[in-house]
Amino acid sequence: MSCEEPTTSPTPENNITVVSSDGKEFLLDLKLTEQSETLARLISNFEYDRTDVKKDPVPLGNITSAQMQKIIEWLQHHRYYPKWEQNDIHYSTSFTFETWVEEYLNIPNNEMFELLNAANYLNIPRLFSTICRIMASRITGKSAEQIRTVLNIKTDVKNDVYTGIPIQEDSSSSEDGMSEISLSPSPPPI
Amino acid sequence: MTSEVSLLQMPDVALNEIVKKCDYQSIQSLRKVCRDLRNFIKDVKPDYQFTNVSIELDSCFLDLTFNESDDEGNEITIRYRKHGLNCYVSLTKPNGKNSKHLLNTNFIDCFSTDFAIAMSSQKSIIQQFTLSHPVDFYMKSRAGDLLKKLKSASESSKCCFIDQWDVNDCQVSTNS
Repeated sequence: MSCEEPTTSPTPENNITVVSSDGKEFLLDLKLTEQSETLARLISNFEYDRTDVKKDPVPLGNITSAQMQKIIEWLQHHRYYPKWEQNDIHYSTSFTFETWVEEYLNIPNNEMFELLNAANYLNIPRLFSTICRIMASRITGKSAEQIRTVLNIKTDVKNDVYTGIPIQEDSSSSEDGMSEISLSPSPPPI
Repeated sequence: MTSEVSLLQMPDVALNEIVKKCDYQSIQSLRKVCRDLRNFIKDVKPDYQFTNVSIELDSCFLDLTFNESDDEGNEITIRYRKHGLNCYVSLTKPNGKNSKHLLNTNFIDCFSTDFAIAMSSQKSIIQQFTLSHPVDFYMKSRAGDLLKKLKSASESSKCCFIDQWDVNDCQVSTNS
C-alpha cells in the first residue's frame, strides 16, 4: 500500500486534468493554471494543490480541444512571466506586441473571437487584454465599411423600418434583380 | 454549419475592453458600423481622456482641437468649413487628411453635435479649454451664439450643462 502511492501519482501530483467540450483530456501543470483565475480559484476551493486530495477531471464545457491547445501554448510561453498588471493606457495607435505574440495571434478573426471568449471564461487577464489590444489595433485607422469587412459585421440598416432611409444594400439587390431578369427564359414584354 | 463569430457576439466585458482601447477616431468609425455598436458605445461612454480642448472660430470655419500638444500622435484637429449652405468637415491625421462634404448643414450646428457627443463621454477633467475668435464685435456675438448652441446641444444629448463642465482653466481669448 505504501509503495503504491508513488507509482500511481508520479506525474499527476502537480497536475490537474481538464476536459474540453469535445471530450479530450489535457494534463495541466498546476504552475500553468496560476495564470487562469478561474482554474486557480477552482483548485484552491477543491484543494487540488494538496497531494492527498483526489482530483476529478475539470470539465470545460465551452472550450474546444483546438482552443485548449492554443491556450496551453500561451500558458507555457508565459510560465515564468511576472503577474499581469492592468494598465489603462488606451491609445490603440501606440500598441506594440512581442514577435511571439504577433505570430501566436496571427489567426483568422473568428478564431480570435473564440479565443477571446475562452480567455474571458478562464479569466486569463494577459491573454484577454492582449487580444483586446490586437482587436483595437485592427480597428484603428479604418473606415466604417472596412471595419464591417474586418469584423464580419453585416450592416443592419436594412432592418430599419422606421426611418425609411434608402437602404445601403440597394445596389446589390437591384443587381440581383437584373440578373434574374436576364436569366429568365421568357423574353421581357414589349 | 455554425455561422462565423462576429465582434457583436462577444461578451460585454470583452467588447467594453476593446472599445476602451480604441482612440477617438476609431470609436467614431465604430459608431458608424452598425446600430448595435452605436448603442453599445452610447451606453458605455468610453472615456477619451482629452486633457485640453481648443476651439478656434472664424467667420467661415471652425477648428476643433483635442489634446493640443507637441506629441502629434495624440492631437486631433477637426476643421468645419462653411461652403455656401453646406459644410466641409476635415480631419487632420498624422498620415494625411480625411474630408467629408455634408450637404445642407450649418458648420456650427455640425460642430455642436460632434462636440456634444465627444463631451458626453468625457469622464476625466479637462485641464484647459480655449475658445478663440477674431476681435471684431460681429465675431464676438458669433462666439456668444456658439456657446449658447453648445449649451443646448449638450442639454439635448443629456450630458452636463456647459457651465457645469469640469474645466480647470477656461479662457476665451481674442486674436487679431
